[in-house]
Amino acid sequence: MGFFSYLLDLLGLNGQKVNVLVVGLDNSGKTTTIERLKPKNKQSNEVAPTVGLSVEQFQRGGLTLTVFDMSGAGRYRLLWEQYYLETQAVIFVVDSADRLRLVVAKDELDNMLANQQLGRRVPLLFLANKMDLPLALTPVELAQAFHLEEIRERPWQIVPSNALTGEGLDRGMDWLAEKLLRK
Amino acid sequence: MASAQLRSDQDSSSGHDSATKRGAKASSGRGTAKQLWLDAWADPVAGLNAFTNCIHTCNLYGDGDWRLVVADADKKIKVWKGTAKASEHALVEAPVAITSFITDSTAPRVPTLAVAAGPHVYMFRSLRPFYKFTLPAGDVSPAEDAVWKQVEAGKLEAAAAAQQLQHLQDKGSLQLTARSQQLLALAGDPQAQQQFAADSSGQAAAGNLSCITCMDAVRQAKDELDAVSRLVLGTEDCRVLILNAAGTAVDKAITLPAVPAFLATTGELDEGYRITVAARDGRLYNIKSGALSRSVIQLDSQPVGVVRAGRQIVVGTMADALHCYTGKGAKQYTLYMPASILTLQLLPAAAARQSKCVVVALANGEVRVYNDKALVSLHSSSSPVMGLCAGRYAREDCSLISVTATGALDIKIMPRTANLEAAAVGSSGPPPEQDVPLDVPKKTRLYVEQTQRERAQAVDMHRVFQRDLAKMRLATAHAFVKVLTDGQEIAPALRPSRAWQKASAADGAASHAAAANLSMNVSIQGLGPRFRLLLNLSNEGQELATDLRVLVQAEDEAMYQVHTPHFAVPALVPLLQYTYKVDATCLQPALGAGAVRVIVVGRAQQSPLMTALVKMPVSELDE
Ligand SMILES: Nc1nc2c(ncn2[C@@H]2O[C@H](COP(=O)(O)OP(=O)(O)OP(=O)(O)O)[C@@H](O)[C@H]2O)c(=O)[nH]1
Ligand SMILES: [Mg+2]
Repeated sequence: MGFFSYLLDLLGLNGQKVNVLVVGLDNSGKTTTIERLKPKNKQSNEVAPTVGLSVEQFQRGGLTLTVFDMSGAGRYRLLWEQYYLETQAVIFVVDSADRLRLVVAKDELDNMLANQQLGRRVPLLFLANKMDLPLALTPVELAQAFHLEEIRERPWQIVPSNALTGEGLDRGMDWLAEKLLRK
Repeated sequence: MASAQLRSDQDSSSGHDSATKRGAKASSGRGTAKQLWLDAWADPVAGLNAFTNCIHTCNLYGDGDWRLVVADADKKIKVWKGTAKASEHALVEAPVAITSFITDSTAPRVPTLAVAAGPHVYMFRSLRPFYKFTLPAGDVSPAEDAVWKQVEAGKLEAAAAAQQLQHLQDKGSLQLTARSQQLLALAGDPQAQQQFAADSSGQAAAGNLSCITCMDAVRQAKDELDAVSRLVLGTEDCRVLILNAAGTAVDKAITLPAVPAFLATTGELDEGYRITVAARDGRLYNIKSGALSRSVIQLDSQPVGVVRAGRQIVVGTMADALHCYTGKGAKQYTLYMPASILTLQLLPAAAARQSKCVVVALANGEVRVYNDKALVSLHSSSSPVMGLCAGRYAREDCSLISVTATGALDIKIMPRTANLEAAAVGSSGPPPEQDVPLDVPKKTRLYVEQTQRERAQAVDMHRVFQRDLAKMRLATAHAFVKVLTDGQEIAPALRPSRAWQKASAADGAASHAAAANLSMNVSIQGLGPRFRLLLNLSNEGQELATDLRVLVQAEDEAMYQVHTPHFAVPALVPLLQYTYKVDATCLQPALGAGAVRVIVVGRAQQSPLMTALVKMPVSELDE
């Protein structure tokens, strides 16, 4: 358990309800990431491509997270924007080894950032997932490719991760918790 | 006379045609189309050498990550996964086409990769060799067979055999086997011929093997990406073959009048399918549920590619034109490209409304996407694109893979939000000028008076008009009679001027020329007093016209001196134009202009085949 979740406990903020939207292209590892975020006893190792979306609710780091696991398949991506209004945080999962579709991910990110419905101060957590793969790009390279430095208003962070082992997820979630707490 | 009319009609219509051509070109530049694609990946040194037929994407391992498979001309299958080349596999022969099909509906539906080369289709499952299909052998002609038998028995040198085979081919009645053709191709190198004859001895038993020219797959029942499908082959012996589900035997063979060059399929085998074949004779043939449809489309030039966009057939030709026809053969429209078309592909999109889009690669490096007539996307590549593949790649439904002349590989992806509707691009529909109101002048007094007069005297005005019309008809009839009796008056010849003359066939005379259908066009060069008459004679009939004489006479002998008053035309081959020069000098420039009569006569004929009265221009005074 990270420092900030510890702090949350201390402040008695435990149980604050937060809607988290998890987006990213198909096969980037969104469902796998969410499985890893769940408490150990609820995790399942079998993941199949998500159809439409699935909603999960669990406690983590003193927050009650309602996680919207969106499907990243082309024909379902138009569902993402229907949840922008009610989200307090966005996790954008990128398959850092999928160099071909970097442009597609960037295009979808731009679409999302241009959408007025997404709150102006909603924190964005980028997970540079599949960092274990040999061809994976580093978070710095991804940030450059996505021109993340151009995001001025919203707080953002990019963290390398491996959803299979859970590596890097704690760091990302601690950052997110801190941002949500500041609110 | 009538045909003179026809000629000038044709002339003006072709002029009109070229005007619209220019218009179309200009307006295609007007569109606001820009690139819609996202640049996903480019490898300028991929070293690929493949045309559209040899580039394919499929769910090669059934894992949902579609691979790019290129059957390269250097006899290799090259597989790409994402942005990286995954593997390379050697082929025995140079490939002509690659595609994939799904043999049965049991999961997982791993496609069978099919590579056509020579008379074979090499099939692979998960890139492992799986089956080799060979075209059924045709009959070898006895004469050809005899030659090869002698070679095999060692009685005949390969070079001598080649000569005999050449002789057989020159007779023109039979199509030599691939083996004989290969031997002939080695002409001039007896050693290589001998070597080939020895190496290819196994082929003799196989009989006359044809070659595959093109290949595609057609779905069995439903229209889905992983639906069960079958191979369709086009062969050098003018046939289209549909294989059985496993791809091991021919299920249906349809014979065409010409060698198929490109195939485009649509529909499903169970619910009625269509195969459009662009053949080497510059025609489009349609196969409708197993039978050759009677509607044949004659193209303006050789086809460079054909696709079926829903019910429409879109074909690109070497005349830089993209024609669209309905399945029944009615022309919908033609788009003229600013450069030669190198290849074209259908842009399959999940949404049916987009499936009419066609991607066209031009010799100037442009790659255009047309939705019906509207140009919806345009981008340029540094080197002309030789091969295109549009469709699903990796996990994206709509990507465009291009291979350029320099061997570069370029992968683009259509963004999800891209709108390919013509209206969105704004390159079609009424021009904006249409909404600007015309500057109509106010009603003047003159106008009002005129209108009143028209109302008051409508009957009189109508009568006057009718009388003038009748007079004009009479004048026309007079002129026509005059032409029939003494040749046509040609309008004062401008420099250079043109006038079409046509002879009606002289009746009865037993001469070649009697049936001849000649046309003559006279133009005049020079400012005077020395002129040169250029007589362009052509024979529009089917037969050779022989033994003609041409007489050139001045109407007034004192006015013009004709330097070659008569000359012989030994023969006129149909559809060639012959030009003869005749010099004439105006003797009395001060008297203005006269006329010269040109008469064409056949041998032993009483009346001339054709006469023309050429009005000479006024000549300048000779200092
Ligand atoms: N090597 C590696 N594989 C991963 C990692 N994360 C996920 N995967 C694999 O990626 C595949 C896709 O994961 P999913 O979680 O289903 O992807 P998704 O983003 O939910 O996909 P959709 O639901 O289709 O949008 C699975 O086979 C995972 O095992 C990672 O960090 N490293
Ligand atoms: Mg999922």
